Amino acid sequence: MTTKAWTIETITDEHKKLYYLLSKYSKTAHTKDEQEVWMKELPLRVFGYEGIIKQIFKRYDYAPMSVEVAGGIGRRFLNISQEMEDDIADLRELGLLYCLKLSTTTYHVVNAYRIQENEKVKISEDFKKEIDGLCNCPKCGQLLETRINPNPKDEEELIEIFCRNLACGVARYSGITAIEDVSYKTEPYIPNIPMYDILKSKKSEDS
Amino acid sequence: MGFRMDNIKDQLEEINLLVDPHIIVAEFIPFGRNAVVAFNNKLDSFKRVKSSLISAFQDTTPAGTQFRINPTQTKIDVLDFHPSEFVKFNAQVFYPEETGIMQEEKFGIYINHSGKIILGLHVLQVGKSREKVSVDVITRLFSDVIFDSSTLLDTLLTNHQRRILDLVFFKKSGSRDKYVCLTAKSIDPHRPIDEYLDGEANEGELKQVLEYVDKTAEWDDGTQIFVGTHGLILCTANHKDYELILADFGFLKSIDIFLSNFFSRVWSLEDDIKEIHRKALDDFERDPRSVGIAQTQLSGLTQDCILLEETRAHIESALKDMIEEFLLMMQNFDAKQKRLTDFLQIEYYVKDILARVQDTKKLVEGLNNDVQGLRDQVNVINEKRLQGIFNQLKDSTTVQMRMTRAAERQDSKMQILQLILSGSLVLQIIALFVGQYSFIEPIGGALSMGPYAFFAINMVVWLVFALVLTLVMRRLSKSAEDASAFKIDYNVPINLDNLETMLGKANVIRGDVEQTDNRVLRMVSCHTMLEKSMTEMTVTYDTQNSFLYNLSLSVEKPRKPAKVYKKAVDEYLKKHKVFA
Repeated sequence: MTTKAWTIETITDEHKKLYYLLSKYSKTAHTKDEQEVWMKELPLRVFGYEGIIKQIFKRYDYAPMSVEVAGGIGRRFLNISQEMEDDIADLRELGLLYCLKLSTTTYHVVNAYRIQENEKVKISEDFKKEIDGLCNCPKCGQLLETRINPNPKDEEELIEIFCRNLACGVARYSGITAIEDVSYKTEPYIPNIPMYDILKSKKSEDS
Repeated sequence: MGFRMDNIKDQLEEINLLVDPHIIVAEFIPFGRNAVVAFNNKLDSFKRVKSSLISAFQDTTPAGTQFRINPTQTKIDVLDFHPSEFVKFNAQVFYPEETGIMQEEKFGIYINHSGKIILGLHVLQVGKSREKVSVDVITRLFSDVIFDSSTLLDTLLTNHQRRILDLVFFKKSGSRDKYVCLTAKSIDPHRPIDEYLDGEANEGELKQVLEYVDKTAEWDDGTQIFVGTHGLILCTANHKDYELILADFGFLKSIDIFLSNFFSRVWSLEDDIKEIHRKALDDFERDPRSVGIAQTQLSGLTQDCILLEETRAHIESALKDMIEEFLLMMQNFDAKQKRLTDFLQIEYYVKDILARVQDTKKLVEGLNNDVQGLRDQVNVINEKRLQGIFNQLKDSTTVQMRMTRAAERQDSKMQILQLILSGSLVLQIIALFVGQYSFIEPIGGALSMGPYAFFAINMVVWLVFALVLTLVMRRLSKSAEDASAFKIDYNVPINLDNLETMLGKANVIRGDVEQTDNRVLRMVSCHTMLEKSMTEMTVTYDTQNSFLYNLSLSVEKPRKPAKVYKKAVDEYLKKHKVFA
């Protein structure tokens, strides 16, 4: 297997935007009294998807993939960008991102990410503005968050993006759970599975 | 197809196209031969017309004439079956899509008694493409198939199987995971296998099917295979040669997935045990309900443990069947098939999972022992608690007995005193008639009599007066006790509307409601006249199940025996047509 070797100098625009997005939601502790802040994988995927829809992550696309959603939700098909997953791996390999594994009460593993501050990563103001537009509340400018709707009417209302400042009233459902339809035509196909009993009787006949 | 192709919001970057793809989706659900018989019955396999529509809609009004449902159904055509061994059928899902999207979703399903569920479909066309289908787009197709097949199977499974799935998948069995094997003639553009695994766009696309790439191989006949944690892609000129191996490998992987969820459940139950332990031991003095709650939860845990052990036995038996079946099949394998079998290490993989399943036995046994130990502890706590209650009750009864005896003694003394005092009253009344009397100055005239005779008359009048007084007091005391109470147990189904109409007419004085998962218990007290006596009647009934439990009567100053009032209540209820 060959993977492209990235350096901080050669990383793509998407890497930088992703790094900036993560820097908004995670923080390194500089003193012993400070607390670290980590961003969970699901919100990252949600904002990644929203970024693709808004043409911020131009190089990414997405496809449904079955993943475990924490919080007693179980497995769900989510629109996940493999390119983004790959860029997360690149950032980790470059030492710009740490991954923390947590266990849920139902013993499923949840990943969380925190950036490692590095001055060498230069992010243009345009990129910052784009990501700010994606993650900041359009009314009060606070960071938007995600939450799981415990009683969704349908799959498309499972994950909500909202602003903690109730006065803004900003809350909308993310389309990450809305699996888009394609037209298709299939025909039934059953592999010709021989029955165990038939095989056994054949074996006894042979012997 | 003259229709809109999709509603995808993004511009997809389709790099890799699969030529003539077939999809095999494998899943494991504990079955057994009896479940196959039940499954065949539901599919109408035994009937002449082996085709029917199936809906996940549940009929909540079985007595109704009509029902309305969304046009989401699955058409089933049974192809082949054995009553208790297997069934093969084709399914076509009808689901209303957005305008412009047309989906013809047909797949075949094979189910056997080991719980092997193999679902297959040949992709004829996706979007505009007939021959070649992009990996990006095909994932949208199999997300449909995985979801729809789960809904279809859930409709046809027995309650017992649904309970197992709910237990293992934490009540989220509808979105359970399956293993997908994709076969294609080739990937277009054809590249050496390493180039697909570039860690960038190519690999990213394949990972949508595979999740994480486990191993890959490329053979001299051009066959390429990618094995991932949640899917497999096999590109070969003749996929038919390998379909049996892929189906079995997919089945093994699905058992692996099932087992991972099974383990999660075991750990989660261990946590539940700890939590119950904490609640029962730490909270029992603070919260008297904690022991009762712990006992209810323990009974649920016991059921879960029994179900887990049964599920484990199902997995073990499925693996044993599979390895035996596979070894028999292998005898007829050609070199190519043997090569794939060796590459996938099926024999080793089965033995590995089997060993894990056998290890699980110890875990489940441990869990059972934990539950048993906890139950013993809860019982000890409960006995301790009951002993405390019993001691308190005993002390309280002793005190009450002493108080009652003291009251009785006091009462007797008072009665004697009253009788003596009544004598004094009688003598004074006689003195009113006869004036002063003494042995020195006996009365004369008409009432002239000797002193002994006069004394005897006084004593007789006193005794008569005392007797009358005693009788009057006894009667007064009896009338004070006359408020008899009794309870009649019915335990019969009722006509709820009529009962509530009857209570609506009565003078209701209080009501109380107790709600549990399966019943809503209502206790209504009202005043009513029965046999010319004012009666307080308390009716205890279940509004959810329309069931009358009992009726308590408290009759003030009853004029008739209890059985007359019981009969009167029966008639009262019958008059209001309360009994169903």
